[in-house]
Amino acid sequence: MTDLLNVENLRTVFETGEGTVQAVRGVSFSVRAGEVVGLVGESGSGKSVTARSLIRLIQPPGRIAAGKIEFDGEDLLGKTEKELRGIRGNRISMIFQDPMTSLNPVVRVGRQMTEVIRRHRKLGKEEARKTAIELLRQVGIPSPETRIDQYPHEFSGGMRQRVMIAMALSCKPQLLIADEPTTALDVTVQAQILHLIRELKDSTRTAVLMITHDLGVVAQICSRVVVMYGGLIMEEGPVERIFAAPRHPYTQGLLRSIPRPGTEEGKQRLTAIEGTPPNLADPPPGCPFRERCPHAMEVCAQMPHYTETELGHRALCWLLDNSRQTEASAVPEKGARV
Amino acid sequence: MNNYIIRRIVQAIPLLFVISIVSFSLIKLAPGDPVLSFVTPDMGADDVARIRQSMGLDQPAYVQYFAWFKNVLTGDLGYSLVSHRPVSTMILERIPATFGLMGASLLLSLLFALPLSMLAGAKQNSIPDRILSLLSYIGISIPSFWFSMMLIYLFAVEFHWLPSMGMRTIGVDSIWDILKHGILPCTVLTFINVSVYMRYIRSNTISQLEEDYVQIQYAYGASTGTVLLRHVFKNVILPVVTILGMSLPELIAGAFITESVFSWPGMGSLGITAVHGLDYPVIMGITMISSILLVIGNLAADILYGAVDPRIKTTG
Amino acid sequence: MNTMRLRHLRSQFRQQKTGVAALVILTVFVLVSLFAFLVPHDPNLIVVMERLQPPSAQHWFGTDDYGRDYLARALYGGRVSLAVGFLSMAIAVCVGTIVGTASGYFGGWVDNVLMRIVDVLMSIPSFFLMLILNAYLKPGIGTIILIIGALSWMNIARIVRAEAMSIKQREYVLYARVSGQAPSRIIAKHIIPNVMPTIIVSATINIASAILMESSLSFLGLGVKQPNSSWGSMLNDAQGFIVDAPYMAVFPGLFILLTVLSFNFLGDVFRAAFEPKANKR
Repeated sequence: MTDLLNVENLRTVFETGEGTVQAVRGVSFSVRAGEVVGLVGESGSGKSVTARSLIRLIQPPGRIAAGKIEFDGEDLLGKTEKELRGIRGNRISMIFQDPMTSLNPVVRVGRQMTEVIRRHRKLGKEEARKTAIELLRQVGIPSPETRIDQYPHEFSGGMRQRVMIAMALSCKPQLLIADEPTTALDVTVQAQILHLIRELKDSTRTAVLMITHDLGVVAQICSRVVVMYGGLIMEEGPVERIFAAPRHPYTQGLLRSIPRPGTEEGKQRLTAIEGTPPNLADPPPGCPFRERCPHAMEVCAQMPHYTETELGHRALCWLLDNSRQTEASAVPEKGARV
Repeated sequence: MNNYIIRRIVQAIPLLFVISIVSFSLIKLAPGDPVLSFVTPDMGADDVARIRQSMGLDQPAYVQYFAWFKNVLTGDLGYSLVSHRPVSTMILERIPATFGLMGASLLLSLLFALPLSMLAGAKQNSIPDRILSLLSYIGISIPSFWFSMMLIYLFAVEFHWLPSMGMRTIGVDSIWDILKHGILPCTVLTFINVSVYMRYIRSNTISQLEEDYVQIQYAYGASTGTVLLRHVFKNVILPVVTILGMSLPELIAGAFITESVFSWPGMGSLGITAVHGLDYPVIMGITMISSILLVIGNLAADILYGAVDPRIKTTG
Repeated sequence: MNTMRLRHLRSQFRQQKTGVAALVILTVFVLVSLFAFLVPHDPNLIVVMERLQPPSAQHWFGTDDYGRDYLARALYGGRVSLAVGFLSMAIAVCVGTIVGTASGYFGGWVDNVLMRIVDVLMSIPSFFLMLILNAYLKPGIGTIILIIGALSWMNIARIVRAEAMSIKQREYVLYARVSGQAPSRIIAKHIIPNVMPTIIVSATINIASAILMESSLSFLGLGVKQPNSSWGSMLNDAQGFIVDAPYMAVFPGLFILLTVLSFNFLGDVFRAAFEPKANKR
């Protein structure tokens, strides 16, 4: 299978009064067609900025400083704003965290949907409306014929997220970026929404990039995981390998911090990782996790390499480096300027 | 929704009542004895007492108030001490000129303020934004009468392009003539109003552009123009109704001064003349009317807001 | 005022050059009107021979219709305008703060009564009311200060009330109340200091509008009257000479504009420094 999305050495920075914040510091990963990839990290890890960079939704003072984003064989960073508009919402779509604020409060749900549909597909008013009703039905909204003429505040949080999903899928995108789509919802609704996304991607063959801090979500839906920390990818691999044998101390810490009902251990132990994420305005030169890492060594003051432990499973850590004494060269090198 | 309207109207009634008491006190507290204006040197103390009685001035204040209030309800606001004409007639004559001027400037203000402030908000800190922001600072800081004087000097005195006084040229009866007289006062009021509205609408636009739904529109391929016109505009124009209601007192004060500088024959210049001549019944009448207009304006703004905002329509 | 706020203020002044300019202009105006006596002309000296002279080296701003030096008059007039603006602001801030904190802190019927009074006062066009009161009462600078102050505190009261209500809910205030401290002490120790930044912002904007009000009243001949003069009353005189001596209208008006503009700028700088949330908007 070929890669649908290929990100290479992506760097996104924000120019602030206090200096340049390096939110994403050289990130490379790929998503294959129809695959669900989890992008996991704490808040401030750079996962959301990475997601927004993919469709170039970074606004000043932020900018993509370097890297390459290839989508379906096309270079997204080389595209004009107008060409991008034809891709956004059409071939790459996005769902956001908070369904309560994601819809325009004073515009009817139906109009917000048909607007997107008609922007990308050559449909008449009536056809677009029919399509919207059909989409609402697909995402499980009862009596969509009447609901379509209502305002967002007449929907519950879960229902709004369903509307958002319907909108996101209205043009049958090849890639859906879901930025914490269940975080703001109740637990039972979370499960329903995840179930819906899984169902829809099975029926439409849409690839999903699931951004989340919740490893539970990852376990339910993803086939591959990318773990981010301090603007860098710490570990990447198939979901079962990451859960069974995490290689990076950070991933290990993350996994320890989720409660596991059923296991004797899970009843008592809930260890959060101590400390706070690094300040990305002035990131420390070496491994960003050094300050919080239980295995920190002297060499960690230098940037480690990625070590591939199995096929498709790599991690950024000196512990895995057999030639620890060899010269350390920073892995995310400065890429070509955009 | 209907409940909401009724509740707001019921809330306004006591307010109108208090306004009537305040207006009444304006006459009662006025310096000088109103009876004296009817007294001639040859009258004796008996005659003075009789006049006082016939005017009801020997009654306790609350009795006088209710008698007066009854008259007000029937539209009788008394007679001017200067021209001896009914106050209600005098005010009614003046209302079209005031409403015409205020209405025109209000409309123009919105026509300018909405697009300009949305542009400024969308292009925050750009050169046009900075220029507009400076202009609006000047607009809220400039004394309206001085701005009027400068315009009169430039356009009427120096260049003789526009008339500086009144609403009509004597002997000429055409709409064009009225419009020409209205240009300068209308410019003053519009400039000041636009400046006030711009500050609100601009900051509102900026905060709307930070909303999630805007980001999502971009994520779904909308252009900046689409986002502004189809999505932000609707959210920005709703609070404008409230801003209009809020700015009514300034609008009225501005109209008083501007009408007076341009001798525009409206309620404002009538009021100022009355204050100068201590013409209490007219003063009282104008206080009443302008306060009532203010209350009604605010009420209308609230109701209108309820009518156009879908969030209130279905829940309240 | 804690150090953090002062730091915010400094950084705001660094960012907004207009704020610095406003501060400079106001300082100059205050100093110049304080030291107005240094001008070698008597503002009240009538020299009929030198009537309505345009600006010259002798009389920088020209002379008025009585041949009085216009610069000297403008400087002394500025004294009155600034003093009226400042003092009526002081009255409005005092009344507004007292009403607002009482309303917000005690709530209940106190709040109800006070806020209804505010509603009524705000529903009468206050400018016209000022005109009327000025016509009724004994004219004089003191009267004007009282009238403007007494009719422009309502907005401050509303803002302070809202602030006081939210501060009242904070834990240290709740603690103070539970531990039985007297309301007057709590208000003085906890509420007022926390409302202070808001008050400073409102006060700055309030001076601006007070100066505008005074000048409007005086312009209409119902404010400062002879022998006193303010920028507004000077414009009242100038109105009659707009054809012969337009410079008479230019200078006082320009001074009012610059002063009010500076206070408005300053108010927004304070707002940005003290209310970081408002800054973004």
